[in-house]
Order: sequence, then structure tokens, then C-alpha cells
Amino acid sequence: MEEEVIMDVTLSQGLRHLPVYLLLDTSGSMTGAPIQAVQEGLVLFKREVEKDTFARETVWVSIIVFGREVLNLTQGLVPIDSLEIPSLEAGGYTPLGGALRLLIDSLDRDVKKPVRGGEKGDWKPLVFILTDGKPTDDWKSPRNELLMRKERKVLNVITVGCGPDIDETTLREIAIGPSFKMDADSASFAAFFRWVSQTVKSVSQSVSQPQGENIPTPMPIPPDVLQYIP
Amino acid sequence: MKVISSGFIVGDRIVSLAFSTHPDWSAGFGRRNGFSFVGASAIGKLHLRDGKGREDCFLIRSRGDWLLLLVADGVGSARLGGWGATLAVAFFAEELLSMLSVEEGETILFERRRPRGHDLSLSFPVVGEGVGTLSWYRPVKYKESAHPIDEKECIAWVTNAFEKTHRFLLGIAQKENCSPGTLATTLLGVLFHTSSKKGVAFQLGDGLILEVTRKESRPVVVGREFEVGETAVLTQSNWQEWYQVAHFTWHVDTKAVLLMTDGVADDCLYGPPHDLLHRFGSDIVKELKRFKNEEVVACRLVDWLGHYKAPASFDDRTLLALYR
Repeated sequence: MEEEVIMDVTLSQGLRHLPVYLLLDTSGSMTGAPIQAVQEGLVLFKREVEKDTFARETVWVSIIVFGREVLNLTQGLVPIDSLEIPSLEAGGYTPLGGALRLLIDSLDRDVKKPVRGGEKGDWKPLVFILTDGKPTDDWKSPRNELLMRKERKVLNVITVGCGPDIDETTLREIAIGPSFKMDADSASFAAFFRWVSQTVKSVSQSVSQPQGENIPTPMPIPPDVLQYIP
Repeated sequence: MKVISSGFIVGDRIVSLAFSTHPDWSAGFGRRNGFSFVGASAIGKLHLRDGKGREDCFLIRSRGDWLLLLVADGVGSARLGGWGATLAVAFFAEELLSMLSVEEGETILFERRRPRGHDLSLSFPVVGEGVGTLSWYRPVKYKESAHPIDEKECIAWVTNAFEKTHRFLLGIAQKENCSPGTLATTLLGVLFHTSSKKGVAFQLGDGLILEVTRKESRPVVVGREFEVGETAVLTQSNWQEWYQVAHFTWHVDTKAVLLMTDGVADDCLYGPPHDLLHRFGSDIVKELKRFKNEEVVACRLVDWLGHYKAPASFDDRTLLALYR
């Protein structure tokens, strides 16, 4: 007769999250098809990540837009299965610096660092910035603050420029990690969000990275529509 | 030189680079000089889902009164991390034990002994059928070539074995035409002299070596703090900066020493509840002592490792216990 083997051992009830920040350009130049494509991309992102058992348990998302206003539309990080896709409106300039400030606020407030004997820490955040133009405010100061953080470090800020008006040099300077450019058609946006989903799923299931040092998280190979900016 | 008693090997060993030869679930057990030990390693949910092999491994070896317990975690992002982990524990153990003694070359014949009177009727529910493998390496006689217990000397042996294992892994990487990081692995262990009840504990990378007493459970090696998702590995050039080693004495109130990879350590180091570490340690000790037969304890341990549920706990899990 089979005997069920059960050991009675107290285990952690703490949940570790993978924070994912999507910083989306909603400036006037995104009006029309581009903003619609981003909106659809968010729906695709949620659907893809939710499908994965492991990612669904760990991924928390924040959507920060920068255009006419700079807003954290999710009011911080929310579980992927509770994420309600906001309605995006395009208008105004490209205040990326303001968006980075909101990112820093959320990192300080919403991301946990590990404390032995205390709570589990969260995974290192993944930050994706999607923009179709040049920043119109001071982005260098908050970007430096991100880089110099000692705790709740950010090692992955991926910038993606879309359309003909991007400044590759600035995109590269903003990024902490890789930079890409792509066209501003709906197929490109869909491919971008599919790649973001794959990256999030892959990182949510990764275990420790070697070196014990500050190295970016390995990511899946991007689709052809995303061209690496060297 | 005097002939000391035989040595044994329990746990995971290298077989092939061509494909994973690790069993998905593995357990070992034994007893030496009044100390019991069990070890178990279970493949994580992610590796199961992705059709990959177990990348953790463990090894328990003896030479006379010495016991060596090792766990290693092949880093998931490294292509051959599981192989690197198995190579590391096998090579490290060989190097370290060769400093303690030399093989005399005489195989000890097995003495048939009566079963201990326990009905080991546990099937292994992970598999779903009563299927499993039990295997042993033959014990061999050794001549003692080192005199315990000089603590400084112990630390020097261990550090030397780390250095040699680091170089060995780099050599293998070169031979296989891959980067050293491909074989990235952590390595944690305890070298313990069962007569003097002294030894050293050492750690490179994440994971935990925990001493459990009646009143508290405390890390034997206070390792470097890692941010979530980071570790140090034996293949990195500056491994010495992350390597920690400490003397260890089995005190009157010591109940057990537990070694574990991060797959288990992450589920007991961080709460809630606030007193999680000691609760975990005490519960494990209680379970270890529930049965006198180490075979039964080892089977229960690997079964538990393969099944327990904790939030976002998907990694391979390995736990070794030394107890009385």
C-alpha cells in the first residue's frame, strides 16, 4: 500500500515579484495609428504574460506615460492579472525626465529589497522605454540617479525608438542596457510587445545570474523589426 | 602512516557531457561515528516543464573520521551549469580528500548485514510508481597523511582545493571551446572531523549553511549578501572576493547542520513569518529524527523537496543534513 510522505516544515509565505515598468511616449507625434498600436500592444502583453503559469505568479507591472502629462497610470506596481489596460491619449511634448522621476518614486515605494529574517526582496526591475522623439526636459539627472542607486538597483533600462524622428545617440545615452530602433507601423509595435512579453516571461523564470556583480539580465533575441543601436 | 577506515561516496557524480545523466531526484544517506547524514536533491518545476535536467547536485564523501558534504548549484543561465556543478563537487572532493589521505588501493569487500528491521515500503509519488535506483560506490581503504585538527591547516586545504577546482573548470572550458561562464556554479560545503567534532564550513555563492540548536538557527558561514537574482560562481576570475570560510565546532546543543542551495534557502531565509529561519531549522530536525533509519529519512526528504509548495519557488532544491 502506498504511504503518503509528508514532512511538516514551516516555509516562507513571502512572495517575490518581478517589477516591470513600461514607460510610454504619448506625445503629440504619437497621435493616430501609433498610439492605437501601443494600446493594442498592451493588451497583447497582458494576454501573453498571463498565459504563463510562472510569470503570472511573479510579474507586477507599472505603466508610466509621458506626453501632455506625466502619469503613473497604474498608481505603482500591480499584479499582471489585475492590470487594467488604460486608455491612452496622445498630445503634448516628450517629458521623459518626468517619467524617470515617477519611475524612481515607484522603485523607492513599491520594490522591496531582501532583508534576512525579514521579507523576500523583489527581482531587479525591467524597464522598457518606448519613444518616437527626443526628450524635451532634463532626463540626464534622473537617469544618473538611476545609475547610481545602491539598493533596488536598476540594471535593465531598454530603450526603443520608433519612427523617423528618433535620435539614436540620445536613445543610447538613456539606456542602461541595449537600445533598439524600429518602424512606427502596427506590425512593429506588435512585435515589440511580443518581445517584451517573452523577455518578461524569460526573466521571471531565470534563477541566479553569475558574477555577483552588476550585469544586465540576459534577454531573448529580439525580432528582426527591432534593430540594435550599437 | 596508519591505515584508517574506509571511505565512501554518496550522491551525484559525473558521467557524461553529451547529455544530462543526472537523475531528476536523488537521495543519499549514511552514518559515521555516531553522526547521521542524509542528502537529497529534487529537480525544480521550471526544469521539469522545460524538459531540462537537474542543475543542482550534492556529494557526501568520507575518509576515516572525516566527512565531506558538498552542494552546488549550476547557474541556470549558464549553458552547462549543471555539468559544471557536478564537475566542481567531484573534483573539489577528490582534491580535498587527497590532502587528508592517500588511497591504499585495497577494496573492502562488502559484509552482508541484516536489514535494520524497518520496512522501507515507501514508494516515490513523484514518479507515480514504485520505481527508483539505489546504488553504492565500493569503499576503499586509505592511509592517513594529515593529522587533524589544525584549523588553519584545514582552511588552507579548503582554499587550495577551491583554487584548483577553479583552474580545473577553466581548463575544461578551454578544452571544450566554451567560455568559463558556461560552467558557472556555486559551491558550498562542510569538512567535518567526526571524532574531534570540529571542521570548517565554506561557501561561494548563494545558498545557506545553517546550524540548528535548541534555541536558535544561525548561518555557519555569514556569506556575502546578494541582491535577488545575483550570485557568485567558481568560474569567475575574482571568486576569492566572494569566498567565505569559517571554523565550525559541533557544540553540545547543536542538533544539526543543514546545507542547501538557493532553491531551498530562499524559502527559509526570508519571511514572513518573522522567526522563519529557526522554525524551518527546528521543523527539519524534528523530521530528521522522526525515523531512526536514515534510508527512510532520505526518501522522505527527497519526496518533500520535490513536492513542497512555496510562493514563486521554481528552482531545483537540494538539502543535506548532518545530525546526531
